[in-house]
Amino acid sequence: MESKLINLRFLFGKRLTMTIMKIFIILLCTTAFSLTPDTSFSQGKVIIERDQLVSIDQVFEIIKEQTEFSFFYPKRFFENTQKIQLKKGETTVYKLLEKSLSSNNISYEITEDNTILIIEKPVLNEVKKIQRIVTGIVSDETGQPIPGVSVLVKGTQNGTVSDFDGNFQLSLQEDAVIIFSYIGYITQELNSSATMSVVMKEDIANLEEVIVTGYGGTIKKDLVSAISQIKGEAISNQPASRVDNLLQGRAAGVEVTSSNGAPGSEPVIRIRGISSINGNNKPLYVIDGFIAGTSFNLSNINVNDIESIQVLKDASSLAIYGTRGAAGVVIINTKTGKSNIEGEVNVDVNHYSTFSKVERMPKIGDIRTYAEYWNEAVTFVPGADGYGANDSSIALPYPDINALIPTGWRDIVVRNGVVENTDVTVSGNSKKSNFRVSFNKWNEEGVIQSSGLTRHTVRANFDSKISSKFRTGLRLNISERNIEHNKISINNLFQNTLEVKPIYKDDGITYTDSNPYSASPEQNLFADINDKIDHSNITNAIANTYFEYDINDHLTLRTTYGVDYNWLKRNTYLPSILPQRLSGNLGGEAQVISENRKSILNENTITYENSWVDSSLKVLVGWTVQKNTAEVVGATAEGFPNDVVTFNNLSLGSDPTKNQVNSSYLQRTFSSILTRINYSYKDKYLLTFAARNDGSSVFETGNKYAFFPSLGGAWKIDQEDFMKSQNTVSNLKLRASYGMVGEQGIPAYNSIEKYTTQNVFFNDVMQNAVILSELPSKNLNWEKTYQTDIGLEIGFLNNRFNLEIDYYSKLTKDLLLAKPLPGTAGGTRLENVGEIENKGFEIAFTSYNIEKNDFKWNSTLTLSSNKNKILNLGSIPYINLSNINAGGSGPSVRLIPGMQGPVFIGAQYLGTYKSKEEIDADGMFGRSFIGGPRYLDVDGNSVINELDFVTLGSSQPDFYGGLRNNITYKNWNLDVFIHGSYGNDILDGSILRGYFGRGGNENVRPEVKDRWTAQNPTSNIPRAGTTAGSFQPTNSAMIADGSFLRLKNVTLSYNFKPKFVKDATVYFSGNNLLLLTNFDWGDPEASEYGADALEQGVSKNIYPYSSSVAFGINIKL
Amino acid sequence: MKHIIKNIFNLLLITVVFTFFTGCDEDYLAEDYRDGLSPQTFYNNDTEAQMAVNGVYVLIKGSGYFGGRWRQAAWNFGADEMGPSRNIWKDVHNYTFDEGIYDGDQVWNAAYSVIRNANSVIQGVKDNDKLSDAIKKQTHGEALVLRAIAYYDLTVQFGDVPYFRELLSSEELSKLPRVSLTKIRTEMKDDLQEAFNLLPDSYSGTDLGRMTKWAAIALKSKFHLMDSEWADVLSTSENIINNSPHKLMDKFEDVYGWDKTTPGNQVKTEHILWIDYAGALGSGLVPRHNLQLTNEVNPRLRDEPKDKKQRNALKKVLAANNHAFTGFGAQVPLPDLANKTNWESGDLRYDATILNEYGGFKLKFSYFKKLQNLDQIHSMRNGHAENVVMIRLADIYLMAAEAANELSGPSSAYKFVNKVRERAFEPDKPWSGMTKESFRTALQEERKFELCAEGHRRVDLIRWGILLETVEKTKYFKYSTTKTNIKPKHVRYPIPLDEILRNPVLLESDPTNNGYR
Repeated sequence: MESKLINLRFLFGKRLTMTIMKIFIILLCTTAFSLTPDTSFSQGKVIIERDQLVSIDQVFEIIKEQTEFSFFYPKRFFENTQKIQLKKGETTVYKLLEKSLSSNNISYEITEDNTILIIEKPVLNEVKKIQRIVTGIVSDETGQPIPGVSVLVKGTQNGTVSDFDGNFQLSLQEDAVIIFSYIGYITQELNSSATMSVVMKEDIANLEEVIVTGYGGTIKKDLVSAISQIKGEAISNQPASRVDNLLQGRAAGVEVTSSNGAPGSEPVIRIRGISSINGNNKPLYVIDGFIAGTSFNLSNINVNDIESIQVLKDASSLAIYGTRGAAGVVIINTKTGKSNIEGEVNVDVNHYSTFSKVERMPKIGDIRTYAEYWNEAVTFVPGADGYGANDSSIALPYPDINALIPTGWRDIVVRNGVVENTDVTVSGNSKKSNFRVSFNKWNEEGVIQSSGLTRHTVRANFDSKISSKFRTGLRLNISERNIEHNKISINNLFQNTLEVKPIYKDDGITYTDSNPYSASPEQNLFADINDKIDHSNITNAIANTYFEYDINDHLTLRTTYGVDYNWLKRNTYLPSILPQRLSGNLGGEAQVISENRKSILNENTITYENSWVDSSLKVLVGWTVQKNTAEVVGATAEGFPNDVVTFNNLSLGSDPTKNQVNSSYLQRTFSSILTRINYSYKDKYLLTFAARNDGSSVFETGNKYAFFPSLGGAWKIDQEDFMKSQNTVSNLKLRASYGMVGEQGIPAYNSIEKYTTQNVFFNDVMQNAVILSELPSKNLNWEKTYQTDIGLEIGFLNNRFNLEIDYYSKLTKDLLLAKPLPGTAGGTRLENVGEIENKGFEIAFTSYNIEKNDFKWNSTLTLSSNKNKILNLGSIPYINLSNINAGGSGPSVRLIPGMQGPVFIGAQYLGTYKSKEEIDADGMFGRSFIGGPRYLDVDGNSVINELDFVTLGSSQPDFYGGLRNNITYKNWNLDVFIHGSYGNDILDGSILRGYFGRGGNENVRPEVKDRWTAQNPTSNIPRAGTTAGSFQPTNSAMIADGSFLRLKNVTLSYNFKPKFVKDATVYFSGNNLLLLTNFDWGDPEASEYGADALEQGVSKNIYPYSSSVAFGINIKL
Repeated sequence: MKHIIKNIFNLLLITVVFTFFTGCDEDYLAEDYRDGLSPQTFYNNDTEAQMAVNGVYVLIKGSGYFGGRWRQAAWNFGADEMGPSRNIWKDVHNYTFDEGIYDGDQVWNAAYSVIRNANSVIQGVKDNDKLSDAIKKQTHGEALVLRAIAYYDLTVQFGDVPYFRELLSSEELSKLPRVSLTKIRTEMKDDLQEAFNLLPDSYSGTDLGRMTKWAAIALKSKFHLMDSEWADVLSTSENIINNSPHKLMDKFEDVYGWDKTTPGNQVKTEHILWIDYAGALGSGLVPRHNLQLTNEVNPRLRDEPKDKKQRNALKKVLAANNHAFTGFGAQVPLPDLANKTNWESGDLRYDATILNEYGGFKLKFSYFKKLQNLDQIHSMRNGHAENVVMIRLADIYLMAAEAANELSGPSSAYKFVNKVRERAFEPDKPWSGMTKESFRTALQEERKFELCAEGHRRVDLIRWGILLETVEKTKYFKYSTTKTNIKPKHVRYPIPLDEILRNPVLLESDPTNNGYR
């Protein structure tokens, strides 16, 4: 085996790229060093960490701290000047200076060693031309005066700042235009008059807010890419153990479907549709800068620790993540102490309790319906004429229906669920550093007995400025989870456990063990709940450290080093007293699985930032390496004589021939170079180039690297002169991007020829064996997604209404497809063929309906529509996906070129056969009967098989969205969130067996009561006995409309300030309170195969959903 | 000056940071495959060769093949021996199978995985100097026999099928056409002759259950039988009868009689080619060969006894014998076979074959007692471990008799058939004085009584060309539509639909797909 063979061509190529990168970096540095600051005003970034009112001296302190500038001016120079209101956000030295020194008699100079000299302005000749003095007052919409507003005569340096009472005075020429500006408020240009009363309107959309883009950030109004942001406060105190559930309906273009109701279950997230078939469609999670992968378990992160979530959607934002960005990136940043007031320490205690009950438990036919159905089914015979009859001489399985007592299994296994959640947070901020530490305990009991989740999370975040040039910090999250897995088989609960089966045998003590109809051994749900052990202990630590060093004003070096460590131990024990083990005299069986997963990431970036009069430039280059390993050990032991030690001592398993051990090792490595260039001209035209050259171990030598570039641009139309004259449109930005992202799409080691190890017995003795695994793949390459995005952002009436519309078109090429091979070749083979297209619209609309001091109401609406189409699958006519009706029904979910992917397929169900003539006409004599099911025979050969299957529907909605209304009245806050989906279909897996009645060992659906009988000859529900034991195709009767509208969350909170505490809030939160849908087998959010699967919208054995109410209190000490 | 020094320092810092991590880059992206074995590094010693051939046994025992229910059903239902006790197994028993409807794809796929792995073993061990001579010959021979079993099944069930005997790429394997069964069978007969020369006489201990030279030659004899090559059938059969260690067991009831065996003790001297399921008890992660066949033929308590009021009494008797009715009770004898009056009077095989009552309780259904195992200590519902016997010596005797009759009439055939009948009757009822034709007809019946439910009957009827007329004469359960639906095409299965869709070349030689389109 030669897996480490090194290809020289590849080596040379790689080295060349590295060399070019290095030269580029050096050139960049030297260019930067050669620029002297006095030729162009340096516009170093300054971050204002919270809203504050400060003196001008303090402004200079802030600038000194964050930049290389020092100040030189006479002491007490600013003693009697107004304080300046600084709003949280990002600004520049230039802006701060302008703001601080806007008084008309002060100016400044910058010396070569970055000292800013502040001097009184010489009196100009123009002063003599003063024609009048303007006085005025600046206030906000509620009439409160605003101090510190910059008042500037347009086109001059002549200006001032409003004082504490909002008053200002200014000397100017006639007909001058005055610009009023203030952070957090809309800038206004007004014609001067002798006395002015200016009302500043709050910029409620806050376009200065920082959006994290990955390897940096930018403010919302300078954003070139399509990125949705969800702020922590929108989702805080929602009773959810993981944050991805809360993304539902809150970000346009992000389709979130919960997969089941089990505690901690992972929802299905698809960002702008599916773009891979064999690969990954889950977003990449980046947590505090650490690339945590696509399968990072978000249960590890406490929802209340989250500051913001960014969803990266277009090529311009994703290309920087190269091969891991094709399915979108979700960046989660956690809260820090930065937002605290300097010198203050906050202690925050939060607790809520949630109570939940099962909602929409799938309904099965009652005991009478079931027994009558099977009494009828077993007596069914072709009869004398061969068209169907019931033979009364055949013994009935349930001769005395009235004597049957229903057990009520579905009520026995469920309970009311409970969640107890407590958060304790301590945070503080000082000049040089800030910290935030938090502790969370989550304790959940699921609605199915003995399932639950307990979690402890500890988080510590700190940042420190070691010197004016050197910063460091840590983001650390440790979570310990204990999952009590669901012990029962949901399939048994819904389908196989019959109401005629009692819990106990006749003795009243021993559990019943088998299905009473088939006598097949079957687990006893009640015994499973009481006696089975199945839990996982998971410890996850994710830590990321950074070191930032300002080489000079323009260059910043940043190195991060992070570790994600996940240790899992799953213990399972089937005690000897479980009925299925007791009946076989098998003793106990224990299984232990231990998993160690590690990911180590090192990223190094250099940022160059500079700006000139009309333009600014930001260049980022970086190099990153990541190594993921997984080591798994598993052991099983059987024949435990008693149930005392359980999984704790496997050596007590007394049957060595059945004991088993296994272990595995898996490794993946990545090595990448990345860059991003942001250029802005006149603050109107923005351009972003981003690219990543990604290398991954899973490809063959020579194919390991791929390059993913992107280009994006934005035009801030509202900055154009022709827009200045109107007030309706307060923000208008057009942006567009095009680029390429990738996906690996293949498992590790797939190019290596492998054996699978097995065991085999000869004469009762176990021996080792190997069999050929699937044949190795050759010459595989990355999947490539080309995406075009056009976005329009409009703010009306001082951004009171904000609309963001995106259109995108994604084309994925070189899909890695597992081509199903004929049985002669066996299995599947990966090929780089096939194309998928996704096109869609996204609309995000925010409206500040009412903005009064004691009454605020805002609404957020997101609407998304994605049209997916499989363009081609290479030489493969179609690909069948998982089959919900395995065995005797043909495939049920398929990928077909030219159609949405995937689609549900099956025969067209035409109802029942009503006459002999119909059967004869279809040529079905001997095979179907009167009252039996009739299907459309597409090819007319009198055989209903896969060749008659047609497309029946798709799980992809026409559109989906969410509407959030947040109303604050005095101390009350009401948050109402509605989520819905329209036009999606569901494949109802219960139909084939429950409606067509395939076997008496299974429950029937309630509607079979109205089945075809001689007395009910018009029914289209098949006659009992006509379908059992023969091929019944997947068919259109299984397809249901999955559209729904759900009142997802209502939270009502009351804020008050009792003695001894700073602040307190009590709240009530109701989840899933109302659901409108036509679907009747459980919840319409159905994901039989989980978050990884392509085939969504399939419902059969899904842990039931619940609705819940929560009560909580939050106290700030 | 200060600036220059600072800038140089900065450049150095950057260079150091970047080169520090680039140092290991080339190896960094190499695949590090540590936890598995690869065929490219295999066959270095005897143990590895045995592990590889063991893998072929894993596949042949698998639930898609001999360990599952589908092969058994396809070879037993739809003839005049076995039917379903209730309205199940419809497609296979009622001849409603078709392309995509129980078309045998499970067995097809399993057989070809056996073939691919056997080809790999043959290539790996043949002329391999690293192996001892004994293991080289043995593993080579085993792989030849296992591959021949797969081709035997495929040609019987589907006729012409794709055929390959060396390692091919997946592209090549995906485009294989159907090859005439004559060619396949001819080469299989040669392979089995070679295997006969390579393999040992018998095994002991932990090798018991591997293919012997007698298994090879018995299978070769079956191939000859399918082609009516009577001289070869006779010579191979005689070879086994005269030279092998296999002997007819004294009592018919002991030929199976699984209740009386334990998993480590169920190899019988009469069995020549069998698939070993001993030791396959248990559950959990160990790949188990939970033999479904036994579940199919064991009664289920819900149906029994005939007088339902006596169910608890029956349970007690069963429990006293460490027995239980935990099967599916699904594959039962058809009424005529279950009826003792249709058997020659005094046939001792009837009571060993058919179960009509248990412990004095009259049962509702008749069952195939010969294949049952009611033992609740060694053969529980989820852990049946009975060997599946493909060829046993009595079959060889009857094949020899059939061949001798066809070659030279009854006189030379009596000695073979009477050896089998000797055991079946007390006192003996040997045959004599028959014509070639009457002998042929009688032997066809004799095979039914001796070998019923052992997977030979449907193939025999097809081989003799009397499947349709036999079905016409047979009495089925009232819920079966076997007679209504059977057509001449049903002597073969269609090539599975998935297979045709993935490899359209399969339709080239026969666009009708064995008459199914």
